[in-house]
Amino acid sequence: MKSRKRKKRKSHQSLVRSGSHVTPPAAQMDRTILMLVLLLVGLGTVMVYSASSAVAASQFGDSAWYLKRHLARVVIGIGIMFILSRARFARVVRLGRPLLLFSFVALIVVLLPGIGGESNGAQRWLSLGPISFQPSELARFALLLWLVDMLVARRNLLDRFQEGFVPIIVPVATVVALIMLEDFSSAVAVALICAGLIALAGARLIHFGAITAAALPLAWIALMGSEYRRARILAFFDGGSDLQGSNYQVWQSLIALGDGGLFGKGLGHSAQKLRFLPEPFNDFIFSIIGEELGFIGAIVVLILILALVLRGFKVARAAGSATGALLAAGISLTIGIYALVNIGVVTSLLPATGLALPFISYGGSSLVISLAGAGLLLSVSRTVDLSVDDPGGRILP
Amino acid sequence: MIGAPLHSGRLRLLALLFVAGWAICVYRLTDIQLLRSASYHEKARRQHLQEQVLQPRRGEILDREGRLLAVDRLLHTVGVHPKYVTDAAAVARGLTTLVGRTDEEWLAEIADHQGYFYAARRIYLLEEPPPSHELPGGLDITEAYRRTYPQRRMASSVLGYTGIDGVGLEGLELDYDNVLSGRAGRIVQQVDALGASIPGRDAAREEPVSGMDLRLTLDAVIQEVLEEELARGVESSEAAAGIAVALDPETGAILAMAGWPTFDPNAPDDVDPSQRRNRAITDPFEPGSVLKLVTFTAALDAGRYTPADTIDGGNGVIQVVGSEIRDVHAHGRMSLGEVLQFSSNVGTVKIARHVGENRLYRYARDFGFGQVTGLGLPGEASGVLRKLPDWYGPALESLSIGYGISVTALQIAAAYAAVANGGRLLQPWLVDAVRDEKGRWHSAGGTQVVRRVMHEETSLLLRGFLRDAVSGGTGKQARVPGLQIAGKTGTARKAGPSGYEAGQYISSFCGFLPADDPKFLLLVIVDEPANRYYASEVAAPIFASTIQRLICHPQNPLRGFQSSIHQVVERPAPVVPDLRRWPAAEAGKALNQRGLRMRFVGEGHTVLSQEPEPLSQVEEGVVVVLHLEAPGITESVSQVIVPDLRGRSLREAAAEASTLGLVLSVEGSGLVRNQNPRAGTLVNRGTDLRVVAGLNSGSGR
Repeated sequence: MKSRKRKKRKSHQSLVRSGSHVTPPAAQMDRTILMLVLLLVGLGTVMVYSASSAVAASQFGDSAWYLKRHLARVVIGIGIMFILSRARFARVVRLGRPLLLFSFVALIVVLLPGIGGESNGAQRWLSLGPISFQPSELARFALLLWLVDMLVARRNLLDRFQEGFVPIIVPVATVVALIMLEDFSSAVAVALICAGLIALAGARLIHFGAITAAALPLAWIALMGSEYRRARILAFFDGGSDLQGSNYQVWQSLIALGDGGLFGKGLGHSAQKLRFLPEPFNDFIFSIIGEELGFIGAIVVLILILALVLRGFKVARAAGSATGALLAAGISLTIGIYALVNIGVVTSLLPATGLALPFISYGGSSLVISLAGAGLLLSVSRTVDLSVDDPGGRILP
Repeated sequence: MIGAPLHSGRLRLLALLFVAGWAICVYRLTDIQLLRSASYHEKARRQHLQEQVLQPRRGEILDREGRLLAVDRLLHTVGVHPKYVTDAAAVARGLTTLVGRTDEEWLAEIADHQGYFYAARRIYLLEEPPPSHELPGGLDITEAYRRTYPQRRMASSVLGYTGIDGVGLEGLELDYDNVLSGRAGRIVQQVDALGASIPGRDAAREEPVSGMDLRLTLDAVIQEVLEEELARGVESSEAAAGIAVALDPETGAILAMAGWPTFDPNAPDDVDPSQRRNRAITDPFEPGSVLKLVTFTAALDAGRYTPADTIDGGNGVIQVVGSEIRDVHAHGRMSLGEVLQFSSNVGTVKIARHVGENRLYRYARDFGFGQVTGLGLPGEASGVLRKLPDWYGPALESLSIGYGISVTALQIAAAYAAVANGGRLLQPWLVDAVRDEKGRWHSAGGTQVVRRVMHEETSLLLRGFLRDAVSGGTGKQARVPGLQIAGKTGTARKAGPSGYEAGQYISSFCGFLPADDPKFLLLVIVDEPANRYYASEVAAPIFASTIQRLICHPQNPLRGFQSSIHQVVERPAPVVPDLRRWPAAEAGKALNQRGLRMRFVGEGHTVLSQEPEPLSQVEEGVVVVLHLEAPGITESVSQVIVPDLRGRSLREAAAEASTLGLVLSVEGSGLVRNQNPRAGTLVNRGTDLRVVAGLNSGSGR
C-alpha cells in the first residue's frame, strides 16, 4: 500500500516537472472541501442573523439589516469561489505581484488623512466607487499569491540566505509592517502564515531564528506602542480583574459560552447578544454559537474547521505542482490560524484581538477573501486524486 | 527533499500543531461550558434577569355604609429609553397626552438624554395609558399604588396612615396591616445590557394578591359632624385639645372616634407626630365627676342605698385625710338622685364611705378601668386604677369623685354604655367585616360581653338619675328639644408636676339617648378650655349641637330610633366645612349637601382659601366663596409648585418630592440646606429637584 502511494505521487510530480502549465481543470474538485465550506457559510449565515437581529431591529428597525448585507457578501463570495475553482490557479498566482503592488498603494493611501473610513478605531476601509474594502484583507490575499509565486520561482535558492531567503522575507516584512499599522492582530496572523509557508517551501530554520531574533524588539515596540493594545495585553495577563474595561468583551464571551452549557439555550435564545457582547455577529460570533448551540454546537464548528484545514493540507501534500502545493498549504494555514486565533480570543486563551472567524463571522472583505481562498483551494483540488491517496480516511496528511 | 513540492515533515508538524491547538480549544471549551457552566450560568442570570416587584393593591377601608375611607390609587411612572426610541415623534406625542407639556419639549428632552430617564414619577396620568405592547418603542410605564384617604382628615387617628412603601404605620393601617397589605407579586424580566426589558421574554411572573378590604363600624356622617362640632367647640373655648367617642351602647360598636387637633393622613408628615395619636385610647386622664357613676353603681347595686335614701350635703364641705373636699354650691339634704344630678362631691364622698373601699374598688375594676378595652388598636393605654393595698390617704374619697385614677375616653364611654344597655360591659369594636379577594365578606367583629357590671334594675335607676341630670341638673346644656337625653358632666382639675394647677381643667360630658331605650352614646372631652371650664358650658353644648345636626342630617344616621324621637326639632344652621386643599369639584358637592351655594374665584383645580372661614355657622343658602389656586398640588395636572424643603429631613424631602412627581437628586446628607429650583416656582412634573443637604441645619441661611 505504501509503495503504491509513493508511486502515485511520483507520477504526479513528473507531470508537474514536465513544465506544462497546469493540469487542465478537467478532474472533479474535492467535494469534501466544498461541503465543509458551504456548511460553515450556511451555519455562519444562520448565526449572523440570530446574533444580529436584535441589535439590527433596534438600530435600523429592520431585524434582517445585517443579514441582508451578509447574504450579499455570501453571494458575491460564493460566485468568486466558483469562478476561481474553475480558474487555473497558476495563472491566478501570477496576479499576486500586481495585486500586491495595488494593495501596497492602498495600504499607504488609507493612512492619508481624510480618505480611509474608520471603523472601531483600528480597521480602515477604502472605497472605490460602489465597492469598499479593507486594504489589509486584500493585502493578505495578494501577499499569499505573490509569496507562492516567489517561493516556486526561487525554490532552488531558498536554502541560501542572501539569494533565497532575504529577497522573500524583506517584502513580506514590509507588507506585514504596513498591515500592522492598521490591524495589529491581522499582521501577526499574516506573519505567521508567511513564516509557515516559507518553512514549508524548505527554507532553513536557522534563517528563521536569525530573523526572529532581529524582529523581536521591533514587535515589542509595536505591541506596547499603542495605548489600547497595551491595555488589552495587560488586561489579559491580569486575569480578568478589569471586567468593565479592556477585558469586558472577553468576560462577556466567557459568560455566553458558560451559560450555553452542553446543549445551549437554543437557536435565537442568546441573551448575551442583547448588547452585553459587543459585535456579537462579528469577531465574537463563536461565543453566541456556544451560547445558543452549546458545547455540542461549538465542537461541531471546531471539527468542521479543523477538517477543512487538514483536508487542505492533504490537497497540498498530494498536489502535483509546487504552486498548487504551496497555494493549498497557504490557504489552509490562513483558515487554520485565523480560526485558532479567533477561538483563542473568545475562550480567553489569547489576548483580545479583532480577527474574524473564517466563513462564519459577519463579513465584509474577510468573508469574500476567505471564499476566494476556498475557490483557489478547490481549483488545486482538481489536480489531485485524494480518494486514491486516502482510502483509510487518515486525517493527518 | 529537493524536488518535493513541500517539506512534508514540516507539513505534518504543522498539522500536528493545529490538532494540538484544537485540542487546547476543546479542553478550554470543556472547562468553560461543562465544568464551570454553573458559575457562568449564575453570572449570566444576574446580568440578564431583573426582578421587579409587583406591588399589591392594598385593601380598602370602608365605613359601615360602604363609604370609602382609605383606598389605593394607581399611580404611574413614565420612563423613556432614548436608545430604544425608533419614532421620537410618537414617543413625544405619547408623553404629551399622558403627562402633559408639549411635543417639542419632549423631543428636546429625548434628544438631550443618553440613558434612561423618568418623564414623570408616581403621578396620575392625564389619560388611561394604552396597554404596554401598544406603546411606542422606548417608552415604558410602570404602575404603583399610592394610599389615599379621600375623606382627608376624617377619622385619621383611627385609620392611621401608611409609609411611603405602603406599609401601615399607625392606627388600623398598622393593626390590620397583614390583612390589608395583600401579597406582592414579581416579574422576572430579561433585560439587555442597557437595562431595558426585552418584550416577550418574561422569565417568570407571579401576580400580586390584593389586600382584603375592611368594613368598619364607623359611620362617616357621624364622624364628620362630630369632628366638625368638636373642632368648633375646642376652638370656641380656646382649648388645647378635644376627644369624642360615639358608641352604639347595645352592641359596643364604635360609631365615631374623633380627636382634635387632627391631621391629614395623605400627608402625615405635615404635622408633629404627637398630633397623629388616637387620643381616645392613648391619653389617660383624671376624669373627675363623670366617674361618679361608679360610686352610684356600687351604692345601688350592692344594695347599700335605695333611691329613697337621702344624704346630707354638709354645707358643701367634707374633711378627708389631710385635706377637705368642697362642692361648688352648698347643698342641704339631697335624695340619692339629686346628689348625682347636682354632682355633689360631698354627697358622693359620703356615699362612697358607706359603700366601702372593697366594693368601690371592685366596681371600678369591673367597669374595666385600669385595663385596656381590647379594641386592638396600637397604643391603647390601660389607665391606672390602684389596687387596694396601694390605697392610702383619701384614696377612697378621691376615687369616688373621679380623682386618683386615670382612664381613657373609650373606657368611660364603655362604662356608660353598660348603664345604657342594662348592665353589661361590652368590648368596644371597630372592624365589622373583612372582604376577601373574591369579594366575600367575612365577619370580623361583633358584640362581646366582657361581664355584667350591675343588675339590670340598677342600670334602670341610674338611667333615671342621668336623665334628671340633663333635664334639671348640671347637664342642662346637653339638652336637645324633643329628645330624652341622659348624661353626666365632669369638670376635673388637671394635675401638674406640683399638684392640681389653677385654671387647667378637663371638661367632659357623656350622654346617651333616648334615655328610656338608649341607642346612641356620645362622650365629649375638652382638654384645657381657656375661656370657660365648666363641663356644662364646654362639653355639653358640643354634645347637643352634634346630636341636633345629626338628626337633621339628610342621611340621618340616627334614623334607626327616629320613632322614639317625639318631635322634630328645628333644623340647625349649617356649618361651612373645611374645604381647603380640596379639589374644586368635590368641594362643590360637599357644599351642596349642606344646602349651601358657592362661587369660584380664580382658576385652578384646588381650593386655596374660603369665605366664610371653615366651621363657621351660617344661614342656609349662603354663598361660600372658594378661591382656587393655580395648578398646584392637584393630582391630575402636570405642573406643580416646588415646595420649600429647606430644614426638612431628606426622608421628608423625598416623600414630598415623590408626592409631587418631582425627581429628587440629593447631594450630601442631613437636613436640606438649599434647593434648586426655588420654593414656589411652577415646574413640570418630573422636573429634577436638586437639594443640597448638610449636617448643619442651616438656620443661618
